[in-house]
Amino acid sequence: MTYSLNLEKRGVALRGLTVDLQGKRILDDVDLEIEPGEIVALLGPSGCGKTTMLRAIAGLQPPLRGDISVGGKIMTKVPPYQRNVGMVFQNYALFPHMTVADNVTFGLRMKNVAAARRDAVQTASLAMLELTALRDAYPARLSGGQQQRVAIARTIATEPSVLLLDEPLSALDKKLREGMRIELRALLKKVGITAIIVTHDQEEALAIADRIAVMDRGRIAQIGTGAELYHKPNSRFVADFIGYMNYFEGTVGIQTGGLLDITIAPNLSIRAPSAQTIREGERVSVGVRPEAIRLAPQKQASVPGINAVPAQLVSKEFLGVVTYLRFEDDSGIERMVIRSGEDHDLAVSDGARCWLQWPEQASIVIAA
Amino acid sequence: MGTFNRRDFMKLAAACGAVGLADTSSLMAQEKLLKIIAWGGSYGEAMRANWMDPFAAQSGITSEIQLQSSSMETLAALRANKGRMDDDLWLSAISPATLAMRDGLLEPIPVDKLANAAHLPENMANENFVGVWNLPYGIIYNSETTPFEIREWTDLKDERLKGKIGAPYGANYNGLFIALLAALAGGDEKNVDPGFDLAREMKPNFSVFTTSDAEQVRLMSSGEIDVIAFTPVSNYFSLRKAGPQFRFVSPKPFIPVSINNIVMLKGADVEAATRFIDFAIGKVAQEGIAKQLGCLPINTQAAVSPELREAVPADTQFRYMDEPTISTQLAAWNDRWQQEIQ
Amino acid sequence: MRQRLVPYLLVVPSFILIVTLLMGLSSVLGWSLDDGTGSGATFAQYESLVTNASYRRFFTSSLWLAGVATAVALVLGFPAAYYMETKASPRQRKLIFAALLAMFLSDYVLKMFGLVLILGRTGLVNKLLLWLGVTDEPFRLMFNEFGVLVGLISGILPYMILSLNGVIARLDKRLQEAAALLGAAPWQVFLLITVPLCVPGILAGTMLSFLLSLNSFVTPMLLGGGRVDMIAVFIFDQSINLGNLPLGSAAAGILFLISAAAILALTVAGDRFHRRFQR
Ligand SMILES: Nc1ncnc2c1ncn2[C@@H]1O[C@H](COP(=O)(O)OP(=O)(O)OP(=O)(O)O)[C@@H](O)[C@H]1O
Ligand SMILES: [Mg+2]
Repeated sequence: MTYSLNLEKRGVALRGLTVDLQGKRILDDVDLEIEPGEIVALLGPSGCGKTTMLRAIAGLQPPLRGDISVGGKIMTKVPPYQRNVGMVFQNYALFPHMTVADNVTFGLRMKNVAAARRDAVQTASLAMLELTALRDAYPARLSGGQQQRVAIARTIATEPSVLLLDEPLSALDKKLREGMRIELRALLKKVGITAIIVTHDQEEALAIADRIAVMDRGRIAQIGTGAELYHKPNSRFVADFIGYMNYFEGTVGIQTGGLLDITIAPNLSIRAPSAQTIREGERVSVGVRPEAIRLAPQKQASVPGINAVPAQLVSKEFLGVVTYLRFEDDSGIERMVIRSGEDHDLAVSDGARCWLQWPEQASIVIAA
Repeated sequence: MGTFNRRDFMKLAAACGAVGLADTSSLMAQEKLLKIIAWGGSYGEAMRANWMDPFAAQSGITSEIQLQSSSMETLAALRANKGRMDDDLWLSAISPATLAMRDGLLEPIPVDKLANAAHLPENMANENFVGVWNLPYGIIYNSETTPFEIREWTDLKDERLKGKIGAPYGANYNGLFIALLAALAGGDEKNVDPGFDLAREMKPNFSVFTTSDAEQVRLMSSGEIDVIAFTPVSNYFSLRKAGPQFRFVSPKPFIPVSINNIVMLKGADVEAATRFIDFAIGKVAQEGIAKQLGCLPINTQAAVSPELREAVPADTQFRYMDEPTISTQLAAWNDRWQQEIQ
Repeated sequence: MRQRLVPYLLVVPSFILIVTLLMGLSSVLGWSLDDGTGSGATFAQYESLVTNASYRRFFTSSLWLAGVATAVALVLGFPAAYYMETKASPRQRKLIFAALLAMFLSDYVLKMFGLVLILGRTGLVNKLLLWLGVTDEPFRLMFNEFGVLVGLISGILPYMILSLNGVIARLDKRLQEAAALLGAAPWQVFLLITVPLCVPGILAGTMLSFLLSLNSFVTPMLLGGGRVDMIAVFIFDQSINLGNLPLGSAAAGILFLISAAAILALTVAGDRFHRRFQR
């Protein structure tokens, strides 16, 4: 690179951000704190308000209440063109009447950057995103991946303090998408920019972001690293959104040494760790990830630290790297087990009855 | 002259298009129907009442009017169709009639068969045309908004009339206004330079240049202008209906009269058309039509109506302009007027 | 069999119309070359139109007026169309649309007469100004270039707006937002993004408005008071009032050529612009 970006990494903070559109609450009292240089993914179902949140941060959508600050400075009243917030739109929004090179330097021209510096940035960012050969092409001739790279180059060239990306990979086909998400993370980290990336693909969020904010109907349900969300979801919504979860409903019994005893069927109880105390007799859900479960032909009488529940194999679904095993327990509820490779658990045959076993520590108590 | 509406364009388009439709005149020949190209409106009404209906009663020959909005327009149509139209007679001003004759579009009129020709002024009945009425021209002004009484043509120069006068567009009214100005300033039809000098003196007073009778009447009655510099007396009779403030002046020292005439078109039913012309210039028909139109009868035995006498007093001096001479210079005058005056 | 004929039958009226128009056009052409003898052809009429300064003025003045009217209509029409498509509520939009439609449906001559009542010496505007005491002498608002321009502009404005609001409706709002986020101030967004993307509509509206103004007859007739030179009036005056069909036809021929050249130039410009970024 012949030049270096003068990015000042800035954190972003949302406080009580509330947005109404046509009388409908779209964002509801959102608080969010993002560290300088951090990549945060907004993950959530369609219509939960992800785009709206980006638009509010960018200044395209004035909030009803709440504040947005970038680098500690309150930006809520600053117009978009003075915010220095970059955004890569869902459909890229490249200017169709400008060449790739002109698209990339548009922001620099708006900011009256000297021509020499502009040329340097243009050359460098085109090179960085492998667009040099396409510099004189118009956007309509570019493939989806190329357009995406132009959109990113155009935005980064202005050295924004925050980069917002709205489903940057959704226009690409699956294969390209999977390759791009690693590249995208590498690029963002190389530039070192604070970024918020919207997606409704959990794998994408896990692959790109440092932290993920799961959104549900205008609120942030939980924010944390992928592992935190995966292993310690605070709600069924979050648990279901990232990976598959088996739920066991039951009544809380005695609590010993941070372990709850939960009766899920007559004469059948499991144990799960719990940080807070839950009163006896209360109903809870216990979640177990499918890959945490092992199979055993018989119940191994009271092995310490292991839960066991009987079930019957309904179907096996071979998917290459992994195989999905679907069970039905005694009350007819489906239980999913995922095993990989040549695991000997896979020897179990259809209709066979066996025990599903998992470490007590792999049980997650979730408020019902 | 008339309003310029879509119908005129259709006619023009049809004329220019020269759509050679089948010649229908042979089918109509037996029925003795005279087709007369003439102006509509008050002219058409007056012709029907005083000429066509009584003539039909007397002779059994019916006739109908083919509308024209100006005789120049008809000349254009006749030229475009190279005489292929099936009309018999044409009411025209002298200039277009002269031009049509030159182009061989006319049928010679058998003057010796016109009994009433003897009562017409000299040269008003010849084989090219027969005069049918005299249209005197003068000034009309709005007495409520004009600061003084207009008596002479040169009053049009008065600076109190700044921006208040409507004047003819180009060589409208067959160039008569330009010829008049020339005559007033010591020139004549062959030397119009003095006329243009005089017009330049009036120029600050001209606010609009009108292309038709209807436009003059409209601009006066709507208060857009206060004086019409040059207008046939017939416009006065239209305007008087709008209010008593409108006055017609037959300005000193003399007023021009334009002779409208009737000509016979190539391929006309000569016998019937001749009888019609003779009827039209008879004493009774002349008195009737002159009274209704507010113009002077051409037949010297016919009496002038009292209404016209009020507008054009008996002592008024008339000037017959040399219209054939004018007609050859019309285009040049028109250009010059547009360039120097408008 | 009968069904197969239907498409052909539907074409018949427009075919007749086109043939008639072509006949008219060709006879105008024929007349313009007429040398008076009825046998030979001559370019004398064209020559006199080109060499005679007072004739040329009709063309230059028409071009100037049409250009100014079109430019003003564009400047007035763009915000109107923009407002209509982006800011107006559906109700307001319907109202504006109805108003535009009414302007189309009403007769052109009537509209111009309406303007006479507004701009005249005793018209609405002057009455208002006199009443307000702004002036004690009525202003001359018509029978001059101003009046003709007002007439031309009000005549072409609906065409301009309706040519523009199609492209404006199809504008991708995100492009403007993207530009703003890249640091473009509102006026820069307008000039660098909005206007270029509306070029097809601007060209269509400009072409339509320019040709309508250039060929305008009723407007200079009613609002020009004989003081404003426009070609259509010249053609009419020469062919009808003065019976000089050849000269009038030659002027019509030149007008046709100018119109065709304008169409060609704007179409080529539009194509060039388009080919750049549309597949
Ligand atoms: N201009 C608008 N007026 C009214 N409602 C709107 C408007 N724009 C968006 N909405 C609504 O706001 C909600 C959130 O929209 P948003 O675009 O933020 O969702 P999203 O999470 O980005 O969804 P997706 O994943 O489909 O892009 C949706 O219910 C949508 O219908
Ligand atoms: Mg979205």
